[in-house]
Amino acid sequence: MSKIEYKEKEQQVMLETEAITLLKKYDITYPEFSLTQNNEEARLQAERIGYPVVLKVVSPQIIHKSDAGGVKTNLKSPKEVEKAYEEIIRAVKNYDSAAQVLGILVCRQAAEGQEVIIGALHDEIFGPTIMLGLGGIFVEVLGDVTFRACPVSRKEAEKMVREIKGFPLLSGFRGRACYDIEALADILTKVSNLLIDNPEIMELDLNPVRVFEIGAEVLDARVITQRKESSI
Amino acid sequence: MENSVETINKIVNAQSIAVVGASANPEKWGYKTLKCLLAGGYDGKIFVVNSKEKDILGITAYPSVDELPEDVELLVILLPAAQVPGVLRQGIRKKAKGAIIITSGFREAGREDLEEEILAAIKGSGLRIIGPNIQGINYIPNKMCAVVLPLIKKLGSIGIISQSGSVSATVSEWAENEGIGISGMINLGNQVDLCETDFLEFFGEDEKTKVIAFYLEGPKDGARFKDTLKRVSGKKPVVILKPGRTAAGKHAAVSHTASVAGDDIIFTHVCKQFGVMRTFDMDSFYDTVKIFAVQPLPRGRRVLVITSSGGAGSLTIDELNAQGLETPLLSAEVLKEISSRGKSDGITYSNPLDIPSFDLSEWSKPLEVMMRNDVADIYLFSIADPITGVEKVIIETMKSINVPVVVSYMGGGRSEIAGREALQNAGIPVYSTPERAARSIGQMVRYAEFRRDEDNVKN
Repeated sequence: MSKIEYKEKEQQVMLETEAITLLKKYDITYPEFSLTQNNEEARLQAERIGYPVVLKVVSPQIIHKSDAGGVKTNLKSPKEVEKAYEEIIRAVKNYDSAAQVLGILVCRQAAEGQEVIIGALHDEIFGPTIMLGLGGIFVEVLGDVTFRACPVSRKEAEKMVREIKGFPLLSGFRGRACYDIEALADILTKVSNLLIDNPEIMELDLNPVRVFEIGAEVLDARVITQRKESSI
Repeated sequence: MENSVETINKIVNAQSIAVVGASANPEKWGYKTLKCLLAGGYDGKIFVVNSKEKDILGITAYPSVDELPEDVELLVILLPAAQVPGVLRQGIRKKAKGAIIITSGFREAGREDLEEEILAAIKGSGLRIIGPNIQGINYIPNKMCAVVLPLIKKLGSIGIISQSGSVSATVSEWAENEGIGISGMINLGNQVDLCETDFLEFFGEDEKTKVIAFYLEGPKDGARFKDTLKRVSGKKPVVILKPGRTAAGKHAAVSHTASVAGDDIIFTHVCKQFGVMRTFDMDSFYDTVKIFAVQPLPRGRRVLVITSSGGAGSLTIDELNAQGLETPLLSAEVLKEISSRGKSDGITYSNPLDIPSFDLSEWSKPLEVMMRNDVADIYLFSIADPITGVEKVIIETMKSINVPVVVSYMGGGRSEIAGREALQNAGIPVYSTPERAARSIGQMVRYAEFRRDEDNVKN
């Protein structure tokens, strides 16, 4: 039935830089970033963006960046950035000696907030479907997610947010902060539009999306598309 | 080609039918099908095609469709698979609009080639096919019980679409036994031509059908199915029974999303998005269909429980609350009005309204007060003792109001049997436990709320 099997020959993972460009087209916010080619450049960009920063490897062969040691967060000084840069290069080579590193992404470190996952799948029956769940164990252990077939209206997006069991964690449970549910619903609708316009997207993970008291940002994007005819 | 709904309308309203491969042997499907058609009281012309017999069940048999004395609107085919393409070509010459192919031995037996031959035979002709490999179809407004089994004659408002002949037969038998009846029953089989989405669309437009009962394994054309499901659900309730919730259907994939999402989770969630009621077992499938078939949609989610038993009352309230429904207490004004007419010691005037009495006047007195006041959007009678004649009070007091009335009846012995029948004949659904009644009310309330949201019905 609506099974999507990952077939290496038919699908490809977008580079994160490409994924970010796609998100930007739909006005979905991602922290300020710059793709750098060496240690020196990374340090300069970190200065420009402002500390703390995050460094992430960009490589077509590395899909699970954290597993490969390709991500370093909360870097507060030029020294830390330089050290992290070297460590990432080393770890990635160690993980996959054939991996081609296209650069290291320097991103502004986002503020604290509540993390959620926005996902998408191309379902065989319903076409593009969008998923929302709270980050981490809520999705993986508890399966606390909700799905919709696209398009998703703004009103439907708000229903999605209220529907997940973990919703109280977003809405001020026991004196916790109230997070910006409207900004989250906004991203859901924008992602829905993106999926409708780009039917070649087979899977998408925005994980995490961090929701603040005001606003929300996508911190990591993984987009899997059907391989274009020309590249087979 | 004319659109599928128009063709299906012509098929189910056909005024002449040829049973091709009718048999004189009572053990054969060709006999049973002809028998059902006759016993169903079909008003149109019936032709019998059999190359060996002179007549079957008193009807003249013709050796082939070509040799029929006149044109025929519909073919019901029971001949072996290899003969079907030829029969279809003859049917086209007799201007048939449709063919119900009961015969098996096609794709399910590795003979995809025969299905291609069938499609080639009808190409460009306007004749459309239901099946093959099915138990048939039944459309009660036309008294057309063109099935191997079961014989169902009671006209109701349930339109059944099924990928399983057993499921459709069971639902239609239950509905007939409870006096609810059906509008039609379509078995899908291999769907070489007309498919589930065509029938969904047909029942969506069919005026005799109030609720669609849909046993689905997997749709043939996802995109069309999605649009049609969404549109029809905005017009009338669609209840789906779909197996597969325990299937290993997790996506083997790179993304996190895919690893979380089984196919079935997506199906369940999208049904909810579209206001479609997805059920997981025969009981809840039929229970849900039944309430829509006979009751109006409620205006809100307030339920008043009237019971003969403390235990049944508590179980009923529990399940109603678990369904997210409201069970408000009686207001001060209502209680005052009841007091002014004289309270009885044994009765608890609350929600549940607990009337542990065999005296019917004890039942009618408070109920009359309820009727005059806007106390609930749904009345649920949870009877759990042999309260002989309580059905008369329920039918009498409830007939003046246009809100859903539902009964759960248990522990009532002979009184229950008589009560059930009277209630069902009055169009009040009866369930055998409070939980089944409460869950069905939950489905109905959620669907009514979906319909009240204008965004869902404007498409």
